[in-house]
Amino acid sequence: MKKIFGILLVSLTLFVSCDDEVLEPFTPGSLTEDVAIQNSTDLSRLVNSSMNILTNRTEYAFSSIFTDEAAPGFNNGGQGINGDYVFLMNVSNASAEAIWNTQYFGLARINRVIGFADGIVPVSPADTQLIERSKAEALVLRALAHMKVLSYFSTNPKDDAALAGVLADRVILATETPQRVTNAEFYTLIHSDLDAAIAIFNANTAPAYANKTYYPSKVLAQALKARAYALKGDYVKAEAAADLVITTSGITLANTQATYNAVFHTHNEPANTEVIFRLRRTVQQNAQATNLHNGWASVANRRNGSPFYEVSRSLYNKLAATPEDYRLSTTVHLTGTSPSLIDPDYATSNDVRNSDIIVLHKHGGQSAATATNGFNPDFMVSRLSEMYFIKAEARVQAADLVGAGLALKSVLDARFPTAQAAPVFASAQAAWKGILDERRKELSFEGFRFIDLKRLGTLAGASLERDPSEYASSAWNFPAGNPANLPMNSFKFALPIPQSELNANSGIQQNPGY
Amino acid sequence: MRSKFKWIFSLLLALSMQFVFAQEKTVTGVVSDASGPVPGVNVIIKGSKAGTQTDFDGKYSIRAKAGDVLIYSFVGMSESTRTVGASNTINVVMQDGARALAEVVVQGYRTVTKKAAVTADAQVSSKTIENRPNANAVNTIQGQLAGVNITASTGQPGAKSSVVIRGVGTITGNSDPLYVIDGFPSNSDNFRSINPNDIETMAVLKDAAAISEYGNRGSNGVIVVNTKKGKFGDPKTTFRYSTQYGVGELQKPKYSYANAKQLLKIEQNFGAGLGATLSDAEIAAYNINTDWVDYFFDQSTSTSHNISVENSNKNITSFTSLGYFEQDGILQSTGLQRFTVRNNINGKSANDRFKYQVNTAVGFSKNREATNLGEGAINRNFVLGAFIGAPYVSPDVYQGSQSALDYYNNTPGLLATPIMLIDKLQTYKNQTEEIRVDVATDFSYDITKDLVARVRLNGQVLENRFFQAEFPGSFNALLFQAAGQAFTGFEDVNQRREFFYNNLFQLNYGKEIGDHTFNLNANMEYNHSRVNSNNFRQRGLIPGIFVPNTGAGYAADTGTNDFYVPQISAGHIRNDLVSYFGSFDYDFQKKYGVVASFRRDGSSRFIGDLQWGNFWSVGGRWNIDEEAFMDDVSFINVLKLRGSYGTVGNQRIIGGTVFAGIQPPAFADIYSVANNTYNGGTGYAISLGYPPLQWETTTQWNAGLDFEMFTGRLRGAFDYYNRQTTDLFLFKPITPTAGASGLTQNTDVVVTNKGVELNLGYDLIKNQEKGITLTVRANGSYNDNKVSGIEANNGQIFAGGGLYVSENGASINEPFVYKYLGVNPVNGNLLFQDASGNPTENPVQADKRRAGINNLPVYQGGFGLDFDYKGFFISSLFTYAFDVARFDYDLDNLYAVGNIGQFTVSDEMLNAWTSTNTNTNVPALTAGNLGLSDESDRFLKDASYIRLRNVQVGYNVPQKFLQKTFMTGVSLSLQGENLFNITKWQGFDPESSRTADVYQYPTPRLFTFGLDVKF
Repeated sequence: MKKIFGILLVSLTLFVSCDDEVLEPFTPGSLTEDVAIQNSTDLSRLVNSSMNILTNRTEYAFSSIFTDEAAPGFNNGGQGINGDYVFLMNVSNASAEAIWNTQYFGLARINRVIGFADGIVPVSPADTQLIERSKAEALVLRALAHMKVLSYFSTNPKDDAALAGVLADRVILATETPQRVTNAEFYTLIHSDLDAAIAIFNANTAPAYANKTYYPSKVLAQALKARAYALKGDYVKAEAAADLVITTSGITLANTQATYNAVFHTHNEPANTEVIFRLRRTVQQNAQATNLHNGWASVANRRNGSPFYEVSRSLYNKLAATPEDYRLSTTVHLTGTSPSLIDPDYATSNDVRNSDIIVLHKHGGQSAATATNGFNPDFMVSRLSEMYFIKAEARVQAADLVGAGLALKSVLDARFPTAQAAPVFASAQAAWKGILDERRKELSFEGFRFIDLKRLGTLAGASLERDPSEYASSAWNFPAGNPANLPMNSFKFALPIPQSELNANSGIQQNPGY
Repeated sequence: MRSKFKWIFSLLLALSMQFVFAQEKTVTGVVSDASGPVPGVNVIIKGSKAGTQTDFDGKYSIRAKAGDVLIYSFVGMSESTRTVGASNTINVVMQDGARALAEVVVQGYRTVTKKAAVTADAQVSSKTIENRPNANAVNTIQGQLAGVNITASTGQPGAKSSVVIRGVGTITGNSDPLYVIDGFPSNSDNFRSINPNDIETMAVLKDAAAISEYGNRGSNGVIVVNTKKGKFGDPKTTFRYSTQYGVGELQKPKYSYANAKQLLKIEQNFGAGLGATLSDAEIAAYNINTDWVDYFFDQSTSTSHNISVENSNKNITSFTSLGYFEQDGILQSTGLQRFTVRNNINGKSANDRFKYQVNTAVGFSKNREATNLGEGAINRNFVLGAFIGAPYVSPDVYQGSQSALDYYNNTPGLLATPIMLIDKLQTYKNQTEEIRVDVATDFSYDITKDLVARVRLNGQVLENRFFQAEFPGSFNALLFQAAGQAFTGFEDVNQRREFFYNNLFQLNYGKEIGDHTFNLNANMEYNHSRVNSNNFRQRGLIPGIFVPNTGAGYAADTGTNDFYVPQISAGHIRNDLVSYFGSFDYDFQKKYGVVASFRRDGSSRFIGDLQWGNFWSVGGRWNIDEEAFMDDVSFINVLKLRGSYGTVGNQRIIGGTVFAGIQPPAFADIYSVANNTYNGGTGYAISLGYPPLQWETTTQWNAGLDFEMFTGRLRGAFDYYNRQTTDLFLFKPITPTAGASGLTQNTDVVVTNKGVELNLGYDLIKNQEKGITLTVRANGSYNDNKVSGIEANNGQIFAGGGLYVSENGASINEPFVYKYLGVNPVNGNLLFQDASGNPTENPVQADKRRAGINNLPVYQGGFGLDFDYKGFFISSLFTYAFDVARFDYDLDNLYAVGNIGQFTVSDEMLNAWTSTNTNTNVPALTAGNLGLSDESDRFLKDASYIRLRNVQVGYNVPQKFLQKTFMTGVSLSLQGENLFNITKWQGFDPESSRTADVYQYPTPRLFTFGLDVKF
């Protein structure tokens, strides 16, 4: 018995002496900031994470469903038909929240890259170049994210005094409750970031990427300047920037069906073709929750791939009006395995849901899989054709309707097997409408339509073009989805500051109507 | 012990002598129990302190006067009382009893007599727990204990119940209580590998003084489980065998499902699905009508066998049990099988100075769980298929996996859902095998008469192997087959080992000096827990060769593609706790007592000085019935006032398992490397941290009154408590511009739970001569849950995407919704109430209001009757909860327009608004604002209920029939669980701890026959 007592005392002593050691938190692999960010590789990890976060399909899906690019698919299990498709937009809207969160979650990483870049001590001159390049990439991404916020949340992107979003030009702390700032401040930051990035790219000698369209580049910075000026309505500068990209980037439009398909379906188009920047996805990232094509179909871009959204009849009709247009078969799955079902009598069909199934093909085509290690498509962010459209818009603004037609012709020539006549416009409004329609065909499902309607809809005298078969037929009966319910001046073109922001920051300025 | 008792006895006897004045006589008799005379029974005269003990033949003799009440008590048996009348002979038959154990109360690490306890506690004994058909013992004590809200939220056999003691004190932190098994604070939140029949008592500790010694983990209350052990005494071996057989069935909902014809008509009206293509005549002739609920839910069976051996001896005793339990779930493919062995040994040295206990238990369970419950995964969640599968689809469509795929490809919408799920029944398997080894030891040595040293060394290993296989060529495998992929399907194998270790050193000094009794102890405790896991997923299984859970038929990676590259992961998480604590008890004349404790705890969940927290408690009691002035109040037998105040800590920063929230640590911004982040490169996942993270503290005070009246026929306890949680752990929303939607931190939010608890028992009939007793039991609690102290954001904290709000002055996580008014007769749209009280079809954010009710019941408890007559017994238990509401999304689904054409809906959809049917409460199928339903209180439903939780009818075969057999006791019983509900809730199961219910696994109704033999 005495022995036990002895052990007890010894144990007590041992026990007291090793408290601190025992209580040391055991957290393998969890790095604190000072350990995590020490060299150029660490910095590039943050850039990678930023781009991963920005690779969010919500914008692409929302912009098509809320407008007239997509219509409910025959496998719709309720997705969006009581929400985005019938223009139900309020503070709780999940799309508005995802768009807001995506940009700001990304910006929180991007601002860390920019902040840390100057503090890292390079190990070599080559390392300096890598650090600088990461910083330039982050600056471009910061401009891009701010432009998205402004596009979706500003009541009027052309008005300097209107509110944009929260200016994220630094790391914002969790304890802050930031307010929105004006578009002017956003534009200032966007251009200064892009200019700073261009300056770094000009001097940078880091080894080139194997595929430069996967990373932000000088060309992207220039293209985004063009986009930002166009968004602002400053067309003189927009045209100059667009021209710069067209003439100096070395990139040309895809001008065969095969290369145009390759741009979207397999991503193996020849170098310097069409694409300025895409957010890259690898087969290892294949996941139903994040794959781009799964934004419209549960499984595959096929009729039996469970499409819950399809290409809208009105867009299909526009594309099919000129069947030799490459964009028709790139956008719509027309031949091959389980293709679309096109009902010529769709307008009178009593079961248009099942008789007329127009399957989206654009993102990943038949390669796109929803399977482990299956191909899943990249997210197209910037393509050369957009520069021609910006040029066309600038020409209209300069009252040069012929010039506008010629700019569009540049794109059309590349999209048809034969040269096309330049569109001729009778009025500025007709020209705006012509450009808007051409953008619709060219940029569909790439996240442009909502912003294009917001920017150009009123100028073009346009309205949302939904076919009655998709909101007022016996199969698809959504009176609230009547395009008349979303006039071009609707307050819903400025999305609400979402619940996620109000959760902690209820004092932030809300947009009107919510 | 014995000598001490005598010493007190004589002293008090002397004191009470002076009150004796009536005519005394000698009363004699024999005290026996079911197995014969009982020696050593204490017989005392109530009100006086006079007493004696029965001799070896159970005989006693005592001087008493007419009108005196004799109290017969013996450990392990119900106390009996008799009033001395004209007769000089009183024979008593003692009953094994639940209440007998209530004589001893757990107070921290020690047990004290109920009389001396300052604490509020509630306990149930083996009698209540044994032979109930619940795989999980925690489930069984539901409704038995005031202030303990136990909710079985799933019908999965053996699944964890939600246990909330005295209200939820946190918003996103953990609200699980601490489980202490045989002195081992094992922190284990799963009981499925423990045999409920091995449990002697389960006590719930609630107030600050009671839980102070578990203060580092006891802030949500403590459940103390003691397993059975043998009794010291003359050598004796007893055996016991019990077996049960039961059947289970689904509790049916009150939903009004459309039948096939009605659904086809609804589809015709709406213009979607098969019905839209049929004429009225064709619909009338349609003759398939499948009840998918019946298809996926079955009658289930359960079987159990238990054998136990109790061995008594002078210096060593043992309790050994073997158990087998098997229960199929009512949902196809689910079930639990369990084997358990327990061996509890108690020993002591000849001089009684050294005592030890070694309790060893090994449990092995095989558990088949339903996957994807509550999710809209149409191809994986069986419950979804059952609840909303279209009745006009025939299960005969299924002729193998390919037929399911073909049907899916060739039918519109998601009509094929139930067919996909039939395929999953054939082509998917999962199982969790769990080996649980518990060793709890206790060694003590009386260094002197007053000074005791004690060591406890406890360990638990929980070894878990989970596999799930999606067979090659199954519907899901075919559907998600990549181009060029030859071998489909996958198998996951997850191994997990949890280890818990606990080491306590204690010195206890107790001394009695005259009227004063002191007890002082000092303790050090070390707790360590760790989990190691390694998981892999094999992708690509070779058909014909593959056998689940064996590794047979794994396709290897080839050079042409990466389809068959397995995915692997591993993990290792640890948590360490170091505690120093001490307590001091003082008693004066058994009338007044105080207890004080102080503790200092360190946890590896925090860092630096913030690892340490200090907690304390004080408590006191006043045994009013001991006062001289009470001697005239003869109808009161026991009256004790007690109170306590103190603090306890909580280190579990978020809900989930005991290891949740440790990795990555929450006390710093953490960068962890993430693979394949962009273009094949690595990235950094950033989790924002809160550097001042520290212990959450709950301060609680408690006042209670214990009473027994009318010679013990009425007994009960009343408690008032006030628990306040500060430095509250909360996943608090932050501005997304900071890079995340929220941050787990200690906040300014204060959550207060205050309430009252009442526990009553009353013997309506108590006639031991005729062998009739009828006892009514009832307990109830009222809990008021309030949030305060929120300074930012208008005093509101939102959760669930803004659907729930915790607001100053209101309860936590109340739904934040538009008030739904009904259908606009003009156009069939939904009408809501705007901020100024007017109806609107287009409410804005400012029109949302908190609902004033949530998923935490304000009133809850249980009541029941026990009736015994000559061996026949009936006992019943009702449970209830009031002032509680949840979202009924299963109901919502039946009104979802998007479901028409592919899933079933309510037949009420036939009554939807149209221009010719304007007076209806079902909105138009084409209403433009249907999407606002889920932001309104339209489907927020009252979930109050009264449930007949358990009824037992049985017969204890009287001794006289057993005298010539080897048996000493035989009982037969028939019982039913969840027999009926009185509730407005329309769903399958009114009972749930969730805020919303959809596609969940309802708890079953069970009928069980049991046989229990002692020999």
